[in-house]
Amino acid sequence: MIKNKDTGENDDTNLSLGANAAGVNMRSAPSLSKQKQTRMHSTYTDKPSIDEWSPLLKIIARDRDRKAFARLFDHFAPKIKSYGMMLKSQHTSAQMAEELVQDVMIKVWLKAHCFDSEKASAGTWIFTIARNCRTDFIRKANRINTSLTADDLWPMAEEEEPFTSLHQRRIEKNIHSAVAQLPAEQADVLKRIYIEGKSHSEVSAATGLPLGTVKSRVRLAVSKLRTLL
Amino acid sequence: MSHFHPDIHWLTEYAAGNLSMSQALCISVHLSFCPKCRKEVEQLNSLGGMMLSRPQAMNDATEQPQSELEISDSLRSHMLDLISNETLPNVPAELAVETSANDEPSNTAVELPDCLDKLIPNGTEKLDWKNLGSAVSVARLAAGDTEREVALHKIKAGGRVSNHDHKGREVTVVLTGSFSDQEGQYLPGDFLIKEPGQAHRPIASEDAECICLSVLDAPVKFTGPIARLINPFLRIRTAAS
Ligand SMILES: [Zn+2]
Repeated sequence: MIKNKDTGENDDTNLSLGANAAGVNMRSAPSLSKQKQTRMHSTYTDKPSIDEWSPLLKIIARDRDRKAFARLFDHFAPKIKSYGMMLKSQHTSAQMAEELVQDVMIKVWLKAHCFDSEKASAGTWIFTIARNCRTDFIRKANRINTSLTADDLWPMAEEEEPFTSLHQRRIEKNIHSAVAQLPAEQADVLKRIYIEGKSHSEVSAATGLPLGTVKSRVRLAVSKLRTLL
Repeated sequence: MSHFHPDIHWLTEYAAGNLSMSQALCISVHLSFCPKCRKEVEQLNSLGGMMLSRPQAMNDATEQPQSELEISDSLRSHMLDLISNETLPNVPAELAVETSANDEPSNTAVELPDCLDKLIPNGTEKLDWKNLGSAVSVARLAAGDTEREVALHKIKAGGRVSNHDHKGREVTVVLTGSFSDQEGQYLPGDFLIKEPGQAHRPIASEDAECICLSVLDAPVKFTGPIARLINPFLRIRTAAS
């Protein structure tokens, strides 16, 4: 059975959930402490100005640098695991989530040379890989009978016209500070949607907020971002 | 240029990967017609990237024990072993094939969005169309959705579909031609949603047949006096046209 996101169908195993966006573990400590010099406040209000992951990903592509990969892994793996915790099957969701982490991170390693920082940040690039992998993962785990794959549904933006690419670069540059200016409650809803991979109804179920409130927070956040980008 | 767009919630769920494949397919078809929504989705993708990139805030609301999201040492060392493995190809064959597979031009009379290529490899004419009366026919697509009906509907030029309601939500995206109902006229790329209770009476424009992709949560029920279900999956019956 494919999971029905629309009905907000509860999953007894992991609706306890969710949350945590990043599960920082000890291995992330070095990079975090470095960031802390410039990030004194909570993540919602601080102002991360530089995308530190894109240069790292370029190094991985160019030098096949395992240490750089390990750093990338330590930051992104717990977040991808969080995103994968919504997967369902006869396995425990934690196991599936770790399989997803492995799928995604191997793709990151193998496809690093395809990463183009002119078009997207490393975070966006990895996010789209994680999203597509998760969709294919669900399809395979549920033995869904279709020739469609995630790459059909979310075509890579590679063929976009130059204007779009320019526009995209501006967005990527500004979105960090834009997100930092969002009210915490809106950022929290976005985190649940993007990092925990929950539909609006699932966010509503997990937080106890009415669906209308979840929707209005998304709407407010996105229109605020629009004015800031 | 489309005039009926998915709302921001649909686009967000699409960007975040939280729709079923068939629903994502509807959005993807719309995007192939709509530069405005494409741009919107790019922003929403960037937002996802931002959420993924930022460090975790220590004061994040957390209902899940931290420990559950920790990456096991065995996974971490397994990954690092994997990438050191010289036999690991630089580009997996699977990925290389994926990109070339789509280059094959399909011999469709009607130009379809790329995302439909695999479901409709030989053009819409070759699909298994079933008549639902004199003006409408339907061809189901194997989009792998066990909870929704995914199909193309074709209305003959000038054809009228009998008034019908839906037990479940129906998402429709126009592929070719156009049709109208009491809410407006829908052109290629237009994305519309009918919730249960919103009965409507589509009429195709006189000049061309209209083909739409539709994804339905549950079978349609008819509201007209002569309405009847031909079978649970053939949902639309035409009025005499
Ligand atoms: Zn649009």
